[in-house]
Amino acid sequence: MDDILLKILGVLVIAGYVIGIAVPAYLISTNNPGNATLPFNEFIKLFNMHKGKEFKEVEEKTVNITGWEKIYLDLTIISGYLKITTSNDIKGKIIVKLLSVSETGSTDSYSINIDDAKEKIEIIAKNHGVGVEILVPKDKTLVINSVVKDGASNIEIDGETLSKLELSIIDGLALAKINNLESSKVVIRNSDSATFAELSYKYFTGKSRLTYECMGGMLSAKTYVDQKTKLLITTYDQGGYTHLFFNGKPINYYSDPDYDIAESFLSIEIRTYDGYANVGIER
Amino acid sequence: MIILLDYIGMILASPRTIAKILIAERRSILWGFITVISASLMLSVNLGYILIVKTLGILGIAIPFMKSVSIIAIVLGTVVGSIIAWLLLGLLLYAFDKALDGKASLENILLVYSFQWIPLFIVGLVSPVFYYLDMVSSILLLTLVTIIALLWGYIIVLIANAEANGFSLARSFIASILQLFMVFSVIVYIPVLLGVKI
Repeated sequence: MDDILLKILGVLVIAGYVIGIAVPAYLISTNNPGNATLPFNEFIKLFNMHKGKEFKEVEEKTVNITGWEKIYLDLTIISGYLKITTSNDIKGKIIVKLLSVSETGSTDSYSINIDDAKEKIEIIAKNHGVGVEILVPKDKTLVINSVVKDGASNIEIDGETLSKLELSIIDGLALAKINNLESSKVVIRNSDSATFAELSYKYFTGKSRLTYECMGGMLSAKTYVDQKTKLLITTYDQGGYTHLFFNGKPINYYSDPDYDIAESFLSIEIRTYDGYANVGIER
Repeated sequence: MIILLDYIGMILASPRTIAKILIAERRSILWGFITVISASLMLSVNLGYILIVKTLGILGIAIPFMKSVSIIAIVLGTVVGSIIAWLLLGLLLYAFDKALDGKASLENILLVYSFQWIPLFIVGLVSPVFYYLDMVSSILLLTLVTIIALLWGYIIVLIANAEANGFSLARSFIASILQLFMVFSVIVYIPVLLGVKI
């Protein structure tokens, strides 16, 4: 009996070692985390904020509107962007306004007016706690899909009616393409990220200002400007490094001689506090 | 193989007898070496799974390079750390045994001291459960099972050490307490030497 007991114990020990090595080794090799959760709600919430997979799940809301109404969405976005998709049959205008952008210190808000039949807009949000106000016409159904992603973002905005635009890319890879700009003030700011921005200005009258702010990481930007628009291009390096090209030639500074009397004037300023900015401007 | 099963069973059920047999058979410390490597490898693979694969799973990211490097670091760290711990602690136990008029050789003590790692097989038996548990519960279960296994191992070593040296259990206990006291003193003393305020 004792012998059998000893053998059973021996088998248990060897089985323990074999199972204890084989099972986790197999799970590691197949990258299978099993129950990949945390037991506390707050932790789950915190970690899921960074979990791109989770945020691909769409929060969909269908709202029947019987007049110009305001819809408020309380969204918490960490390191990502907010996409609002409207249904195609919207007539009139939709006004989307970021009410607050906290944590990074900025209290700027901006509104975007979208003409009819625009299928979607995407707005870069900074960190935490973004309130969104949406103004939509009556008698229409608005489907709002809010999606937050971590990492790579792809922004494409038709900016003809933008009065002011400020994009801050905090983390991850961002590809920003903004067409038909006629804005008075545009700021593209990145930190700790790789950002590729492409802006094209249409002809406008008056003064406009574009600022690239590289706070860290890498900013690669192309800007296309109308032939009639006069330019003043300046750089401001403080800790970072800027490569600036105008029509393909490396420059440090550029000024059109008659810019102060021009009908259309664009001032471009590149501020590199840290990291590397590579900005090309073409006219 | 049958004899091996008996021997392993005896380590758990009758450490005094197996110590006597292994010393009489002049078994080399290679047995101890294999035991320590097997147990620490098993422990480290489970640690790597819980700490790295589950964490990456929670974060929803796949970084194969980081995953491989982290797991290799955990496995190497645990295995090498266990071997060093086995040799140093075995040496300390041997020193205190000698101070208490023990008759065992260093090789015998190292062989006997490797029994400390044997009960870790229970970590292996519960390892499939980690797949179903969340990360924090997995860490808690692993810690609990490891502590139980180490306490069990401590008792086995206590008995086997007494037999190897011709000690009473009380004397073996004193030797092991002195050994642990020395280890904890060094653990506390090194940070003090490095200027860490406690």
